[in-house]
Amino acid sequence: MIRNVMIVDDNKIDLFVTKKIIEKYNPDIKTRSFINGDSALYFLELCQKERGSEILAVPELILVDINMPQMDGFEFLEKLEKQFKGQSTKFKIYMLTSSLYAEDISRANNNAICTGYLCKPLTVEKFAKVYEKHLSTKEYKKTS
Amino acid sequence: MKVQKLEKIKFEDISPEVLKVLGAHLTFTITDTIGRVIYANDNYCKLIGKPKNTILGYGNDILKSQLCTDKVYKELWSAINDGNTWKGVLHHKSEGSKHLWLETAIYPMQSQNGNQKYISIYENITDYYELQNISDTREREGRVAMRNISEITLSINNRAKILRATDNEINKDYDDIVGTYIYDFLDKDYHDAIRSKIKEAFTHKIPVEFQFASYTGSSGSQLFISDIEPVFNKSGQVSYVNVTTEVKTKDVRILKRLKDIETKYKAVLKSCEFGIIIVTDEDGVIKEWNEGAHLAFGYTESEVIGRSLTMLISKNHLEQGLKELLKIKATTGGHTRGETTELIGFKKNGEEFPLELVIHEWYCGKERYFSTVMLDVSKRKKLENRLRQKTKDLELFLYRSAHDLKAPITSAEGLIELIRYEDIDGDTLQLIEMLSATLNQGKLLFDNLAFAASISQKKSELNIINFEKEINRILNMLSGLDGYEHIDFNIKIDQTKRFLSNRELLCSIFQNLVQNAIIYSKTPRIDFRPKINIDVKQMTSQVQITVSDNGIGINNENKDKVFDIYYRASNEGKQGTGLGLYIVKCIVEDLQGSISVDSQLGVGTTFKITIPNQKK
Repeated sequence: MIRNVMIVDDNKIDLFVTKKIIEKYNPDIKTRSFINGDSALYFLELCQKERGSEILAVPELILVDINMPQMDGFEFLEKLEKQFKGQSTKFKIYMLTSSLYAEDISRANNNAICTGYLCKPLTVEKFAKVYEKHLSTKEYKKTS
Repeated sequence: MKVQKLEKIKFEDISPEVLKVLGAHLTFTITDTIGRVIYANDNYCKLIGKPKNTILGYGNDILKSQLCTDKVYKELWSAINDGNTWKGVLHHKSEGSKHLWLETAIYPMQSQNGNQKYISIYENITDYYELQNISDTREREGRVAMRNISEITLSINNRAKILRATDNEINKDYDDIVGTYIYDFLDKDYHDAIRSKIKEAFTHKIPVEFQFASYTGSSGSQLFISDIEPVFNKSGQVSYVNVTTEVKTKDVRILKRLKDIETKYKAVLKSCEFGIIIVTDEDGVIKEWNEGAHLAFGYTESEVIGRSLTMLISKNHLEQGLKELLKIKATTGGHTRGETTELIGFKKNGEEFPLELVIHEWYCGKERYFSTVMLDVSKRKKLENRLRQKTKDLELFLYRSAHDLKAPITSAEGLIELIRYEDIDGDTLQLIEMLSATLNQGKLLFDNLAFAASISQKKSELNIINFEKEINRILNMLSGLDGYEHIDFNIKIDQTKRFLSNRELLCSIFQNLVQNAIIYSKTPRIDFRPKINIDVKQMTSQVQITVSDNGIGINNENKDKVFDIYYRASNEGKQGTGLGLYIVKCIVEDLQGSISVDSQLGVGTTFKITIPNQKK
């Protein structure tokens, strides 16, 4: 059951929209927003240290924008992989992209730790599909 | 012919009276050891056609004739030097170009002071010899008197075999030489050249001229010009060629004119600064070097004449360059029209630069030459590269821009999505729908732009195309368009072979054409059903695609504009971006196909496309 969702996006409007859509779908889901990859990684590090903390709940789903300054979505994936040393598959990670950029799509599909991609803007329907897909599999098996 | 040694005759033993008596009946001379005439009788002077005083004390002309083969002279001199008598036929060309053939006997004589003297007795057998010598030509080796066929028209086949020989003036056939080859009458050195000329006359079906020199007498080498003229059969093929030969050097005016022409062309060649013109011989040794070549390579004429052409090719590209040059050398005539070769040139100062060159082969007499015209294409290459880079940059810029510009639209769409969840009245909802449609339009435009910018990058990726599958997929994708449900689709696919192309680009062609046909279809009525025909016909090397409709059509004057970027036929509520047909045209051009449109306003439009099969 997905209870915590992490959203990483440099665009505050998009961040807001994504957060709101998830709330529309299910107000019980907690979302945490980050405007860059660094702060998101730092948060994940803290979560790992303070396991079991109510405030620092480890997210089951991470939505990350591809096109970000400084650290883009793919670099974020790399660093996450390094930080969790192969344990990163316990997260469901979806890339957010504003267009069907062929290169980004193939990179997302070929990335081992990336579960899939979502086209912006996120809608309730799109999120529902992702949520329901992973709700049924409590064991976090790699499905892609 | 060597003759048995006679008893030694002493020169002094012959009295002047004896000489006088003999002189009345014979034609003879007495020469000293080095061949100077010390006595000549009146008959001799008459025969040679020279006054006595220009004969005595001079070398005996008869012993010098070039028409007699070296073998004859060698034999003659070796016989008389050994003190033997020699007998044989010698040739002499008298003043006024009369040819004389003389049966000659030379007897050595001892004089008192021990000096060797020779008495030569001549018999003029010219009349008899001339009758014979046309058939003789075949037997004679090497240099043969071309003059004998100079008044004769020779008909020869493509292997230079003589089929007929006719004297034009007296209309007489010389059957004796029929069956021989024209090479028999020419110096060996000219054989390659005339072979090439005959080939030219046969293959290009044009008259050609051939020049050669031949030794015809004491006057030495003479210039001949042969006209080689093709004779056609009824079906327009060259059945044989006629060769007529003229002696040219006799005409002083022609010589002068030739000299003038030579001077003129030499001046043009030398002074030409714009193009690089280099003449080499068969082995690539530089023979001519113009100002353009000097400016381009930095070498002066004296630095390169006599050296190999390869000195001008970059060391790093020498192997490749040599291969190219040898390839050209192997072909007769050099480059064919429109063909060029590219090489990397090497300057005196060590710089390398790209060259484009054309090589032509020509013969001057028996010598084979190559003239090479080169252009320094470094400026063009640089511009080409820059243009290529700029195009790439622009495409990337357009692609990235289209993508990045889509981001704010996406954000706005997200916000609209959220507004739909708010408590809004019907009017606001309507406004929201309109705003959403506007944003969609913008997104479509950016998507098309990004696609157009990526066409040239995509085409290199090849897929196997199943036309039926792809067309069905596209129709399914377009089924959401307004009016789709009213349209009768008539799809005919004739595909039996494998077709290779880029799937994404090919589908884009179908998608855009069919989408247009749907968008610009006419409203259905009781007596009118809108129709779209898709016809795909695959041939071995290409596919022919026809998409036609009975829609609103295009005004004839706008027919050429439909492929222009951002051109739109009408704005009446139709959802085009003005990029669809531009994209189609770009794809067809990038895939090296062709596209045409045929349309009538109010009747319908037909697009015809051919795309080559990209099989390897």
